[in-house]
Amino acid sequence: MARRASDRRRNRRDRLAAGIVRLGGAGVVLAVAFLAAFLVREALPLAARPEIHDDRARVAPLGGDGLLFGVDPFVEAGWRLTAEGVLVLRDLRDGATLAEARPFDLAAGERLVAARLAPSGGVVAAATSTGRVALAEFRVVPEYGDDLARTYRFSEAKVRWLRDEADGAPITRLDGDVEDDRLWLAYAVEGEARVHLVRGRLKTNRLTGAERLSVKDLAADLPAPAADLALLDHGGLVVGLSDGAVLGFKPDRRFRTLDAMPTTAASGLEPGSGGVLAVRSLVGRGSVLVVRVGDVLEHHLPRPREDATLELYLAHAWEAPVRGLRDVAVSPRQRVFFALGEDELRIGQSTAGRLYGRSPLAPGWRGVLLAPREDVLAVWQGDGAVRLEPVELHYPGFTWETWFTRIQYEGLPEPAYVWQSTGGTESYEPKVSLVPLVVGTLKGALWALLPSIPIALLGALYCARFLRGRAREAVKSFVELLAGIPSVVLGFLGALYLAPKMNDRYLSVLLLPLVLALAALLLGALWARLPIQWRRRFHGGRAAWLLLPLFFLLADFLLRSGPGLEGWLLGEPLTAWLRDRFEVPFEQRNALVVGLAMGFAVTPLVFTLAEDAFRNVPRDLSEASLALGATEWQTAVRVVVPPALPGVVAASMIGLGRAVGETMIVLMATGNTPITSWNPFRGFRTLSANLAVELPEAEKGAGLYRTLFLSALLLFAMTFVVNLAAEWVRVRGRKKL
Amino acid sequence: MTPTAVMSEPTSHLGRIAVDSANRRAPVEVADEAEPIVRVRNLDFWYGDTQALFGVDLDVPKGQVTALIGPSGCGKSTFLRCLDRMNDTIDGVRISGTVELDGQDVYDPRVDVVELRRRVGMVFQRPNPFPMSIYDNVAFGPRLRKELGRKELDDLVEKCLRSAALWDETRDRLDQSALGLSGGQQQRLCIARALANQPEVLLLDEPCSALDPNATAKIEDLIFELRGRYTIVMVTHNMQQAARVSDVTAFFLKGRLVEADRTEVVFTRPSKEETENYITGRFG
Amino acid sequence: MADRPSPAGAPPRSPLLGGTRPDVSGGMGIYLTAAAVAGLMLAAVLFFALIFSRGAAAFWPKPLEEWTLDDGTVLLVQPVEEYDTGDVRARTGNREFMPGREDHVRIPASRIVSRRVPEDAVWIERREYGPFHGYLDEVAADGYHVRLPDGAPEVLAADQVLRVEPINRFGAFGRLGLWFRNVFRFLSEEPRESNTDGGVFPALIGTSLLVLLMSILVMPFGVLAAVYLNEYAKDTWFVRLVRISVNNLAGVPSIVFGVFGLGFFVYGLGDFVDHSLLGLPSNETRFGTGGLLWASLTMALLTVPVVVVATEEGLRAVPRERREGALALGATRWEALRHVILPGAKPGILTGLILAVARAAGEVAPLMLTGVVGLAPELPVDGEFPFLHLEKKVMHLGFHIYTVGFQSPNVEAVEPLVYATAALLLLLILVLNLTAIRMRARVRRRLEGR
Repeated sequence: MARRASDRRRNRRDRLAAGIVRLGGAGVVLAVAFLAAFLVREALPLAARPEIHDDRARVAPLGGDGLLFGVDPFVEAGWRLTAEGVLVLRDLRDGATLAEARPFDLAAGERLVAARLAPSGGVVAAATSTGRVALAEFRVVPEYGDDLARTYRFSEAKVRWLRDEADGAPITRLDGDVEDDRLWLAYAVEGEARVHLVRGRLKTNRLTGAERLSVKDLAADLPAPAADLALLDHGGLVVGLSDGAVLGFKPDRRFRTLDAMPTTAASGLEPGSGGVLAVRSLVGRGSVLVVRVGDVLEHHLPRPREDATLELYLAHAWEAPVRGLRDVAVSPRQRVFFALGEDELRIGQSTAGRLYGRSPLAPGWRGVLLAPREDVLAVWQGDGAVRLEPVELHYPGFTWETWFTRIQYEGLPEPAYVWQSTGGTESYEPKVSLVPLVVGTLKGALWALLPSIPIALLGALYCARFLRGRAREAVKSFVELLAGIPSVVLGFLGALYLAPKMNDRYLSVLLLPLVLALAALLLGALWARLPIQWRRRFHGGRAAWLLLPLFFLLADFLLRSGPGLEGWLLGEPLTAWLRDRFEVPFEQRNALVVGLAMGFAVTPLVFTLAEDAFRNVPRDLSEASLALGATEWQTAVRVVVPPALPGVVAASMIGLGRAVGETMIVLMATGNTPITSWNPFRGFRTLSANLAVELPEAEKGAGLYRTLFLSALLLFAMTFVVNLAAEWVRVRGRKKL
Repeated sequence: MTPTAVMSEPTSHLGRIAVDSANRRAPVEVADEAEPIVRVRNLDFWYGDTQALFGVDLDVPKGQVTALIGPSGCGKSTFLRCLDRMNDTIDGVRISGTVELDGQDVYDPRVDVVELRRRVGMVFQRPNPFPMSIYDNVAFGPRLRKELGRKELDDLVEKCLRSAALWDETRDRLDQSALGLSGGQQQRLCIARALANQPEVLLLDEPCSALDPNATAKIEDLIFELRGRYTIVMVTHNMQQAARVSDVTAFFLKGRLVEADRTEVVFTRPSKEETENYITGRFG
Repeated sequence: MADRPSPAGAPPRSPLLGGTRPDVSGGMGIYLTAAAVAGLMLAAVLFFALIFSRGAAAFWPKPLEEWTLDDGTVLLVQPVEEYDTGDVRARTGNREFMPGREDHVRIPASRIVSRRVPEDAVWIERREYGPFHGYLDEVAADGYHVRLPDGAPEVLAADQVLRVEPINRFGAFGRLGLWFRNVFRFLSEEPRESNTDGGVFPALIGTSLLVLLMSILVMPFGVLAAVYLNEYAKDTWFVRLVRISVNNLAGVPSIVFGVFGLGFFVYGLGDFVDHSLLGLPSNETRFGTGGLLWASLTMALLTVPVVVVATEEGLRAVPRERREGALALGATRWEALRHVILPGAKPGILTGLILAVARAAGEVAPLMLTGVVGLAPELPVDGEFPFLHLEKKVMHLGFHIYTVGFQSPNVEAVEPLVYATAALLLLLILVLNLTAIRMRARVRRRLEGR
């Protein structure tokens, strides 16, 4: 009985062990699947479209009417600016009035006739019935009571009059903003075919703290009265006329004249002809949206021309984005806008040039704005209440167009592939084209494989076919040892040794492989003509040892005389010559340096795999060939290479996979500039280096973070496909043998 | 690795055969005055520190079939591979003694191994056609030397395939992969491939050991066909085969040549006891 | 030898003696392939020579030379490099006393009016500002009374001075002794002055801990997977899937592992541990940022294929008869595995371990995302419970090379240090790999039945 029990125990243990072992096997599959799935999971939200949850909307009282309205970041308090110049703050939770302020200090009988909120919020330009115009800066700030309940008040408002002449000019179109110590105001007087640009400069007395404002006004004539206008950054402005013209203006550097910009349009686009209804700038004031009669929405932006002047460029146009298009509202943080129609709205994104889904809008709305945290859309209704609709924008600025197509970014001279994910300011337009990174990845891999594949394959053939016994094992072990060299050492050497050393001897470096190959071929030809006894003394297996010292001397000579050679042949270093003659730009840490350093990492890997492939060709075949009177070389080329080809191709592909994924070498030995250029004398940035550089800084869950995961997924997919293909080639080759 | 070539007079070794033409009963097909085309004297062979052949002396008569028999590991394959210096391809081997082909020592340092192997063809134990078409397999040897035009090459391929009794089976699929042939066909293809070099001596290393009886019979017929036109040396562990196809039989044991004589003599009146024991199946 | 007349029917013989047809293309072919091996070997040898010679030279005490320049400036320098342009670069020390606070000069050699090697010059290692080159007068209570190269007196605070070496007095043996002392200090000291001076002790400790933890995590998993593939699995679609997974895992770029580690381990698991298990307030992170544990886990995932492949090879080398023998004696599969097969496969498993360690020691990219930093304020091991702090960030030799070489304001000054670190890392990895390669060769010999 006892024996039975122990047997049972043994069996149980056996089954348990089998289960655990099987789990170990499954674990590997799970790990790979999970890795891929996790990358997908992190990248997938990028595909989500913006949503407005109309069904979860709530209505809060704002009370009465007015010119403008706004909400605090938590959408707990809302303000409106009345025609009497009163700012009224109300609690959106219970409707209580929290504060009233009169920042404008209006004269008796003076009223506000027009006002405009800057895209980033916080700055209001307002014109009075007497013709005065002011910029007011204020914020809604939270206060915590004794019970820690949040309540709100206005911050002290700063009001600066930029047009203080009470000449009664009726000003209905205006836009204003604050840029550091500069105040900008653009306005047009009703009925006048002119547009005005006012620049205010603030000077603060360091001792007294007193502010002094100096104001300068420029004007430009228009062919017709302005229908609407909007400011660009640095004093640029765009005016839309009722006859349909859209004009751009820019003051000169010394603020003497207001110059018109020429207009152009993207190929296939033409500016619409309908009269302009509204012109609104997007956040950052790098571009504007123009609403035309006839339900046309256009995206214009100024872009620099070769002579450093600007032109106004029509980047996108949409016909009938919504029914009865009236206006647009813009996001305070990104280049997202809302096309507002009579009874519906539509979310759009200007970088990608995309319009997303529709959402209903109560007819007779007064104004629409996106809360500062972009989570609530506030619609000021005709009855004075605000309808607060939860919004999930997701990542509207991260679309396949922005990753893989040329984009006309604000401020760039032409549509381009650009990766520059972050900039100095909050309202920076992210540029997340993956094309420069993919091109960089392929460029790096190409320049690494170019020297290393031939060397690895030829060397592997030599090791497998012409070396014997100990020498072969020694060479193979040595190469395996090389495969283990950490890439950080290679990268450091590439950047701090190779790059500066190669600087003035590129010609020698490029010539070196040719010279060495020629020397070897010459010696080989000589050897073949030797009497047979001599040929045997220096048999194929000794050729490498014979060549080693010769190569050392040749390389030493060629590299030492490099600068002299270039000076003698070209009169200046090769790189300078290329730059002067052919305008080929040059960077010290470039693709050739990386190619050498990374080639040194890839070669041993391909070498060992290819050597295995050559050595796995059955001995039967090579013996048959030799027995038929083939020479060693004929045997190698005609009998050993063809069946080994799948293995050799697989080895090269694995080398490609390694080169594509290599991080540290490119991170260190290139300048990491994400340019789209195949020039070997310039640097580049690869997908992998980009991840190493940007991921630690990327905000978790943001569009950039997810785009980086997408690029990791891309990298994973690239190497996965390459490796699968290599495996497939190898297995097919093995079946054929 | 440089082989030491020692010209030595035939000595009274255990396995020395008396090449005494007066004593021989010649088979019908073979000329009586068959001269030796390969003459081996005092051949010692080492794999590293292990000696595999001990002072072998043997004359291979021209145009006849010589069978090498013996238990496995007795050195008969090693001996065969010494004749076309295939052992050179193995690391760490050493050879002393002489192997003469037509009076030229093949281990002379001035000898071109490539040329030697063209003149001494070899077929291996396992069929080893190249993974290419049937035509390319046969044409492999001639093409190496680029001596023949397209037409001549076609003729040669046909002639060799006919000689190997393979023409009728393959004439319609010369451009198909040789790997699609059966084992026996593959082996005959290997023979045809060797014949395309027009060798003087053909070495067969247990050519039937990997084949079924049917295929074996065909190969044996083929060997019989080729006799007279080629000098054939074949290793076999199958004594019936040796008796059926060979003119001369040499018996190897533990690296030594025990006895070599006309086949009928070896099989009916062996002069050594070991030979008799082996032939009668008492060991081996 | 004379050709005899050929018999009828046989083709005409060509002479056996060589030299009739030179096989030129064959010779060129062989030499071209040989050139590839020779070129690779040459590059490799030069590479090793460069790293190791410069790495070793970083510790070699060069004598202090007194240079008098044409404008009367007197310097005590250790020459570093001479350029083709006729410039010379030298280390001057005395950073805080030099114009521009540079402790290197690069000047045309023609500007040097006179050179001499003063016997009594001393080299003083200091806590801050790098080395001091000058003359020592006396050690007093208020510090070290020294003179600058031009004779101006200065006092160095005693707690600033680490050691005083009169290197110009040393003979060859004295220098060699100093070299060894320098190497020892490099290995055993903490970095100073934001990594531009001092040693790499924390990086050594960090690397070791990382590798140790990774080994503990990866070995059971990798060995199990290999055992499954080699002992339990038949050739089914699932086994092929496992095999493909192993191969592809080996091919996935290491940075992708880093991305996964950051996203899943650090931000995913780390957050979970912090806020769900430890109940930390939402603005506090402990495991929610990179650290030793996450870096080790990431590396463990990365090295799975290395262990699997080596272990499988080891398992295959166990002769079939032995496992069948065990089973025939009535052992269960598990018992055969435990008592016969795994012990037999030990060399293979060990090889896998060493290769994995070597890989992890040299890898940098995934680590910089998951918890390795350029300068960790404290070691992850200390006397405080629980002694090993898995959540702490660590330093790493490979990353040290990257940060010191690329994030230092004065690259020229730290170059010797970077070469020294690189030489150390390379030496470590070469020794590991060499051991593994030799062990693997033994396994393979057994596999081939030799």
